[in-house]
This record gives sequence, structure tokens and C-alpha cells, in this order.
Amino acid sequence: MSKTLPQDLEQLIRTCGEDWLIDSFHPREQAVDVLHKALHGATEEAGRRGLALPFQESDLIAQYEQHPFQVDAFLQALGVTRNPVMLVMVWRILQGATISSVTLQYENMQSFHLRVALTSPYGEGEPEEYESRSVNDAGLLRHFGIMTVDGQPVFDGFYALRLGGQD
Amino acid sequence: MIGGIDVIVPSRAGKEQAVVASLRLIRRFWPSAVVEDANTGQRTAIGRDALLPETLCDLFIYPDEETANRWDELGAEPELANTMIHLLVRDAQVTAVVDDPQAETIRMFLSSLRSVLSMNSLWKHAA
Repeated sequence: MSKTLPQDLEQLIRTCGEDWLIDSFHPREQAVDVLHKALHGATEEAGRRGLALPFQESDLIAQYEQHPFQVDAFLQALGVTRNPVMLVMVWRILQGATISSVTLQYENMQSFHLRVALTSPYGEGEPEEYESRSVNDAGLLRHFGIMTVDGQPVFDGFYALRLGGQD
Repeated sequence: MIGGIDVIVPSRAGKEQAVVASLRLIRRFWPSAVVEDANTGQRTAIGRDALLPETLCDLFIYPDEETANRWDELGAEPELANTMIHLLVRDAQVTAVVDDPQAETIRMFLSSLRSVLSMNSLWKHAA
């Protein structure tokens, strides 16, 4: 991954190797605007939750300097969903929140309901609830770290994956 | 740690994501963990809503700042056994140097680390 600092969102996306986020968008020339709007929506959603999260273009670029792989994971999430609730959830996981429960209800051709509860790893505050009715958001679950801890099931972390067309 | 034991954990995660996965796990067991860059001696607390450092590849991890300070004062004394993990992260493996791999916290950390680093052949930036 290049150490040259990107100058804008498109450069950031391409530097992370996530060109597909822009190039596979239709119409392609609207991709960056749509992604900006999604980030704006996530900023507003975070504000509603009393959180100040760094979703502005300049914030993401600044985070990229020290945390390129975690920013990459977030950009992949942006390729999965524009749902501001889910984007806030992803960033909170990257910040270290514990995935304390995941509830998924699905009925073929009828309904989808994903609910994720996050808690502080320090036992502080109330659990944060994130919900979606969009089946596309199921794609986010693939990015969760999956493991056992002392033989018990654990989802932990949100990671960048090798997606189609990437080396 | 005197003559610690090397425990090698194969990794499919790539170096940077392996660092993040390791530190997230450590925080489960040591919520106030402090990370020290083994090359520079610079310490970082790994909590409170900051993204985790992902560029360190040779690091000492302590349960808390106080313990880290005691390591500075005393060095590898028996009373500090199992209160530090030396982690060396490479592209295809993570080496944890520990006093006793069977000590409860260390054992659980190593077991969990094996689990997460082998989880997914789709890790981006994998070795």
C-alpha cells in the first residue's frame, strides 16, 4: 500500500485498491458524490447518537495515514452499504467496540432483519443497537472476525477482505 | 521474562491485520493493556475509541501502565511472570514470546489468536 497521502476521497479509495467502489458504480461519474452523501449521512447518524466520528473526507485521509488497513476495511463497508446506521456500526467496531450480539431474521422473499448490539470493552455506557431491514447489509457480516475464545463463539473486529478482482 | 518460550501462530491475515486482531484479543484479557514498540520504547494505550496501531510488528504488551513501569524498574523478575507478551508479527506468522503458555490468560490468548488468524482465506493483504 502506497505511503503517499491521498488528496481526496477518490484517491483514498484508489490508494486502498478499492477502485471497484467507483468504477463499478453506474453511472460512474456520480460515484464519488454518492459516497460523499453516504459519509455525510453517517456523520449525521453518529451525531444523533451523541458520537463524533471522523467520516469527513479529510478525517478519513488523516486516519488513513496511521491506520490504512482499518480505513480500507471501512471503505469496503461503504461498498456494501450506504446505510448510515450500518456505517456507524462498522466504525464503532473499528474503534474497539465489542460485538455483544447479532440477531438475524430472514424469510425467503418476505423479510430481513439484522440487529447488532455493541458494548464498550470497558463495560462503560449502555449497549448500542444497530438495525437494518436491507438484505444487502448481510454482506457486512462477512467482514467480522470469527473465532472462539476459550471454546466459546466470538465475533470480533471488522476486517478488509480480498474481494473479486483484487490481487 | 527470562528465556521465554516462543509460540508460533500461523497467520493468513497479513501483517497489519494480524497486529489489529492480536491487540483486539489482548484487550479482552487485559482491558487496560499498554503496548510498547520494542524498537523505540514508545508506549501506547490501546483503548478509548482510537483505532488500533497497525504498523507495529515487534511489540511488548503489558496488562497496564503500572506493570509496564515495574518491568522498567525490575526487569525480568519472577514476580512479573506472565505479565508481558512479546509479539513479533510477520506476514505469515505471529510469534508470541511468553513465560508460560499454559498460564490461564496466556493460554486463552494464544488459543484465540490461533482461531482468528486462521479464520478466513479471504483476508485482504494475506501473506
